[in-house]
Amino acid sequence: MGATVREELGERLGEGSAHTRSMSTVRFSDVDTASALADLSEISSQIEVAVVFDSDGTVLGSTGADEMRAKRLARTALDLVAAAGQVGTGATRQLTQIEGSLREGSIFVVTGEEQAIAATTTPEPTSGLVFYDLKTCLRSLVPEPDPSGAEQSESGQSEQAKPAAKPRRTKKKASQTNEGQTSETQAGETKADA
Amino acid sequence: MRRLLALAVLIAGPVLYFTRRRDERRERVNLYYDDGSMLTLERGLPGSERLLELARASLR
Repeated sequence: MGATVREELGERLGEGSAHTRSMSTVRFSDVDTASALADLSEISSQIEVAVVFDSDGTVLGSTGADEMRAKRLARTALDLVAAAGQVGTGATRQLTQIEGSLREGSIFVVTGEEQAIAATTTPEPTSGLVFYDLKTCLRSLVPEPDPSGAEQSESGQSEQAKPAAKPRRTKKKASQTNEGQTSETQAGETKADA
Repeated sequence: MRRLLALAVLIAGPVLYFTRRRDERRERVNLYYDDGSMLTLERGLPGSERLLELARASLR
């Protein structure tokens, strides 16, 4: 059962895709997760416990709960995602969020590219706000591409891309005149060469 | 005194019953999909019991 759930969530979270594989080399620091969760618990008074976990159910961070409770919540959230995947599935649509409303409280699960976040709240919470806060928290954990690294690896491409954008602007202006096309492409080439 | 007690039971009984029914009916699971659609599974619908059971387990 556990393995099946992992496989299913893995598929849902895009495990095995080229994007995931390239991003999996990036490590999420505990500090980032902790600060994101601290912000979350500060922002949302309705959230009692929140846990960030990956497709294996490994807890990456939690707030408002001890380790055992966090692990249990992550495991149950994984099961919930797997069970929800079997209900009302369409080949074209993908499950992104779950809200379970009970008398005792509510559980919210938001699945991301690599990670997911689950949170329990007080009864009858403002669902939209909770989802917004959870998505914001999850988004803040996604590492942004390193601009310095991009410049180093793709310096040649970026230098070529900038001059290529200029002729497009001139193209629109030039297209209004009859002489247009040839003159503007020449201008673009000369700029690129310069 | 007995009449008063009977009256209280007559009033409180249905109120408690319907409040409980309403609360039970409120128990549901909403599934949101990437195309913007949402599926609500209320108690009694196929597939809802398992999800509600898991939701309850997560709150413990």
